[in-house]
Amino acid sequence: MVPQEHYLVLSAILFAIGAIGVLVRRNAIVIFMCIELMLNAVNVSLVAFSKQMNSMDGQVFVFFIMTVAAAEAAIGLAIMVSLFRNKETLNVDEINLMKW
Amino acid sequence: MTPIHIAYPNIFVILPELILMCWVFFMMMADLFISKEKKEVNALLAIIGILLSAAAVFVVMPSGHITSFNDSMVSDSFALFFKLLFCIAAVLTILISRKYIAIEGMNWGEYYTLLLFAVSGMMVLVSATDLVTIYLGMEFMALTVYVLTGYLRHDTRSNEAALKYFLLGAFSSAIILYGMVLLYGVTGSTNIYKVASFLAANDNFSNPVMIASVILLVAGFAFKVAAVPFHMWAPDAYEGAPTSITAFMAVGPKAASFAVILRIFLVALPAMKSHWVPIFWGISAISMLLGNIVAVAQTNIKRMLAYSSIGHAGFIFMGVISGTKIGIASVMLYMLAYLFMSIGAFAVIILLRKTGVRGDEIKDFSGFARKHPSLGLCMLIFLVSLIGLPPTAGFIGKMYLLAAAVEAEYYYLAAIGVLMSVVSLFYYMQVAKTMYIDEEIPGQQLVSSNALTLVVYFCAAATLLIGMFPNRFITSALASVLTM
Amino acid sequence: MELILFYIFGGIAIIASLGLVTGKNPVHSALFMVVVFFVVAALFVLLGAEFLAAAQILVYAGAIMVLFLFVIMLLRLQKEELRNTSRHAFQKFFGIVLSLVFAFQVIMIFRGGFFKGAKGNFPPDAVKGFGGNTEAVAAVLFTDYLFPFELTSAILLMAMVGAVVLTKKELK
Repeated sequence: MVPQEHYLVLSAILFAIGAIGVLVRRNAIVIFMCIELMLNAVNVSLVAFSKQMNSMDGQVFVFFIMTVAAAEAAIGLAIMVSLFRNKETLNVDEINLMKW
Repeated sequence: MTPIHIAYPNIFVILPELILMCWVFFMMMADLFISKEKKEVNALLAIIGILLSAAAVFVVMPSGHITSFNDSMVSDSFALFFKLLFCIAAVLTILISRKYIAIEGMNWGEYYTLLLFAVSGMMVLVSATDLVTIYLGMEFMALTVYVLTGYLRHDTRSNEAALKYFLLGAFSSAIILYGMVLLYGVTGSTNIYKVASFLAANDNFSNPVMIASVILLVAGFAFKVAAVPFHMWAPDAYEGAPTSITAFMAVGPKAASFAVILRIFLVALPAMKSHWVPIFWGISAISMLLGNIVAVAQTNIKRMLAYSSIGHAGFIFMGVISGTKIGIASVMLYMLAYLFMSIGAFAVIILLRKTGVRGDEIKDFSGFARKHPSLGLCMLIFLVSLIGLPPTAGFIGKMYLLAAAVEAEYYYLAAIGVLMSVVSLFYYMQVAKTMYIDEEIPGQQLVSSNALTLVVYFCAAATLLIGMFPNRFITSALASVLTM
Repeated sequence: MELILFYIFGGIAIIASLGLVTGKNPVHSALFMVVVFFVVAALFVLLGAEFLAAAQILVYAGAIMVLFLFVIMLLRLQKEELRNTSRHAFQKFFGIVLSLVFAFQVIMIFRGGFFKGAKGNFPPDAVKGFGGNTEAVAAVLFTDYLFPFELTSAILLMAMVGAVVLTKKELK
């Protein structure tokens, strides 16, 4: 039996790693992957809470987060493809037609 | 195995958004049968759909406060007020878009489809009373607006704006989500009424998890309404997006986000009030300061309006912080006033957009009012209203927000608000000066679109009407404040 | 036994996510991401959420990551240099410090056990009564969360329309 706190700590660590990634990386696709990592960290917390409280709400919430993540991936990558067609880069430091 | 019983839900609660979504499906089908030359029909169809949805709002209105879907959706006068506001914003946006997207060469039916999707997402968001529906409504709205921001896919500025908006928006969604999850972890429920009753019954005031949750929620929602220090996406997104979408973004998603902020913080988290009020106080103060001061230095009018909208967001937070009945009513009133003055101002900017001329620099307005006196006067009305001077809607809105802040004894905040309104006088009046005093640009022609000029006159009239006869609007806003 | 498995999976998750954040080549990052997704699926199994574990692999590792890799290959992305000398150095430093402080705080918090929320209706026995985790999820999904479930269909449709609008080549 794993104490619930273990899962929460793991989730917090993953969330923080993802957040750091968003802040330090300069490649839009990698930044987006870090955001997906943050969502996964959230999912781990949710399922852990769901188990501890004997409720299914948390698991259903995870299901919805996954669906939205899929929609988000489709749109985010479409935006990146359309930018790349015009600009040939996905480095957010070079994307500075307007000030970042 | 236990059989599942599905109770028949009361779909009356979601009637406006349901009608709108069904209409969108119909429009997508209909678009296939509309020839390339007649794509304007889509605009007409979209307006019909929104009018149907607005009619549904009036049908639902007499029922009062009803909930459905296991209390995850509510239809109360607060939600209905915002739904009507979105309907008005959407109709005005469609009217100003038609010519604009034709000039940009992007006159497809999908534009209207996406716009209607965004409106239905915002409607879900203002009705949502469960963390799950709030999250889904928020993402529905946000994802659609990302696409619309990048709609001009040949324009690098539009692509970049979409990318920045998307990355920061997705990041802020993840932050909000973590806050929601901690809230669920502490209270054991995703329903905001249950969250509220749990927090009222159990002392969680100094529970560090709750504090972390509140901080994450505040930060995430501050992102969504572009308040300092989470505002960096707004100027770029506003400048790069198609102007018609900028007009919509400045009004629709912002109003929806404020509605959900009011719902979460005043309905679910009143027990934590003394934690979130100081954070919002700081955000409000620096948004007003930074937004208005940086706006002075802008040369692009869309960018200037973006910074000024950051300042306006700071102003609106005053109503949230006060948390009183009059505070909520003043937020609603201000959003209504902001709708007309903001869309009106953007409609005037679109008038200057011609093939080959972008027309969104302040210097493009040189001599505008002398050449087109009536349109110039309308723009002047919008500018005066954005500053917050009588006799316009902006004055009434700001006055009530200040009154709410003073009533709740936030004197310093109110003082900053007044001071920054004076600062805003500089940059708004600079546009007026360019319009009236500077030399005309030779050969400047306006876009000839009856719909567009109609919107400008209508918005100017509405701005003046709310400013001069505010009683009716104030009573209706007070009558439909959030019931807690 | 469960604890050991947790530490193994948790360790892999942290190492892989560090690899994701520090990897210079986007393809490597994507592959680390796949590892994280699989490990998270394993954690879901440990937590008794079998349905989500399957969905995690199908949706995340299957659909989303393939999309990512496809786009990375399509765009022929160059190796990125982690530039620490740029004007963002301060911002980065600030961000890292803030995140570390945040993680530390959250970890401290979770040691205390502040979660005394109301218990739900699905203790392990009740879940067995439904016939398993998947049935129990379905029982909640199609009753209490019927509207959000229908709403996701609209979101997915919108995402499809949006992606087509943004990337379709001109039809003239």
